Amino acid sequence: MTDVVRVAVLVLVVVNPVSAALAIRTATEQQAARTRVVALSVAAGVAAVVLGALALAADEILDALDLSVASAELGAGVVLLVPALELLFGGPEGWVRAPNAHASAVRLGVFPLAVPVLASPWTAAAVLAIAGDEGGGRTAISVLFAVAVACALAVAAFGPPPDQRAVRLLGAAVGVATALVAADLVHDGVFGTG
Amino acid sequence: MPTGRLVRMLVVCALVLGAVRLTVSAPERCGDVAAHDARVGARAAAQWLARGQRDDGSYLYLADERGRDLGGYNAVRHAGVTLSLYQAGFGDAADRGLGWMLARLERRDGWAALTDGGVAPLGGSALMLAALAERRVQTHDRRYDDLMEQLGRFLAAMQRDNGDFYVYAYPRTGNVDREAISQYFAGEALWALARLERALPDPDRRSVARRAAHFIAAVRDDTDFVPVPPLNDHWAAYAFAEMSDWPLADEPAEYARALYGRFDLLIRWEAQSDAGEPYTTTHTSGKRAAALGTWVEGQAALARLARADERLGDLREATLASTRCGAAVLLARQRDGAWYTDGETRMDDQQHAISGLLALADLLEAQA
Repeated sequence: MTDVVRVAVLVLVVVNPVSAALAIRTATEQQAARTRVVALSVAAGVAAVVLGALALAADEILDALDLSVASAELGAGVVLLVPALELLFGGPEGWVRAPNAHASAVRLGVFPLAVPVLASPWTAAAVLAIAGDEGGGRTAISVLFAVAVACALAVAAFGPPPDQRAVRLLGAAVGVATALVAADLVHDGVFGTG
Repeated sequence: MPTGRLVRMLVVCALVLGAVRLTVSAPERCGDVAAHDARVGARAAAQWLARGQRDDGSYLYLADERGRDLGGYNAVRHAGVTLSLYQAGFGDAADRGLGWMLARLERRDGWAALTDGGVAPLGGSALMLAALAERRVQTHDRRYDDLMEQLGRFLAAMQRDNGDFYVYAYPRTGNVDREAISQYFAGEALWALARLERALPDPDRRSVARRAAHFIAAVRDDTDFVPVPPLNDHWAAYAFAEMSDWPLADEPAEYARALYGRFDLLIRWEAQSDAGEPYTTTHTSGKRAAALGTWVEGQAALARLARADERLGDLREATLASTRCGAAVLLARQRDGAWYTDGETRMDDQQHAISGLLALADLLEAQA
């Protein structure tokens, strides 16, 4: 696996497009089609800016925190274990319930869809660590790719309700992948092999 | 709106993030050490050692903060301190230390060994040989070449079939202790042999060193005295750096990469423990400079290796940064030339700090 593909896969897993798509579907399901699209666009834009900025400014942020890349990887790996366990035992759905019908599309897009659904604390920590190790530009591009995948899945989920069994299976797969990424980050942090 | 489940996850994550920041991802107080700073610190430490040297060439072994002699001695550490004094350019004091060792040599069957109470620990002879090799580099004086060869023959004679070494010999009887083990003597012997090979090449000796390198890189960590591999063996790092143009086999090169990770982790922890409260409380250290100094030495040796070996080229910046961080911690802890732990300093605290600081200075000056 080339470094570019590796980074893209790591970021895709930590952004977790499956849970994000389900949350976007639930949050906007009582809204008009146009409102859904606006909320999705705002969520994607804000999340891309937040995570992309973190990736591009990773070196400066780590310097400000007096943190080496290895320590950042170790910490991010530990934090990522929380969503990994939640995905494995709780499934991918249920992060967002039906919204207040009066909420504007922009407000919905910013909160809760962009932050914390797409750009969660654990995603931010992982993006920071990955960018510190793999480079900000490459990680920022991977963030754009992961957000785009989340949007595509969300659009696909706008249709009929997805099969619950398939959702559970997909959630378990994402949980395993997240646990593996967490373990990889912890390993890199401990053994300096990043 | 977010569900209780998401809110719960966010709360748990916030708590975990806080715990992580207090522990494994705490700030690292590394500072920015220049070559001059490192040389000044090393010189002050060498002066501390030279001030405490006795007429017979031995050094003040263990002292409290008022300089009171707390007794004890160790021939292996004596050899190591003498080596560091040669490195620091304190040739007169080092030559007096060499005289102490020459008075304790036992010779038999063409080899020579440094003894300590009738026993010849492998590490003592290895570090004496390394000290003589350093002296040869510094002074271009070849008067001890024969002795270096004899010490090298002792090390080679102590090698086991698997590349490891017996660690204690009894020169007067010609017996060796076949049970005792030591974590670091093999690395010391390997480095000394590699330095001897640089000074006085010999194909047979090179074979001995290659077998030792294979043992350290591929066998030792599987034995029962290395609980969490890789063993943080800075002597092995020195040796691999010395062997970089042989060239180094793949196994030691891979092991060197693992060693970098171990030294980096250990140095980071010390830098985090010096970051002030609350991090000092969550990073209890208690490690003496003799430990931290070895990690700086090892990382500096790996930095040299990374510059010479393309297989480790991706570690050039990381090894230097880690060395610099460890050196900064050392300098911040130095008091009146020495390093104290629980109110005491041992001579090898100064020895390893001197070697580490000088190695960093060399790296920074070579880079400039």
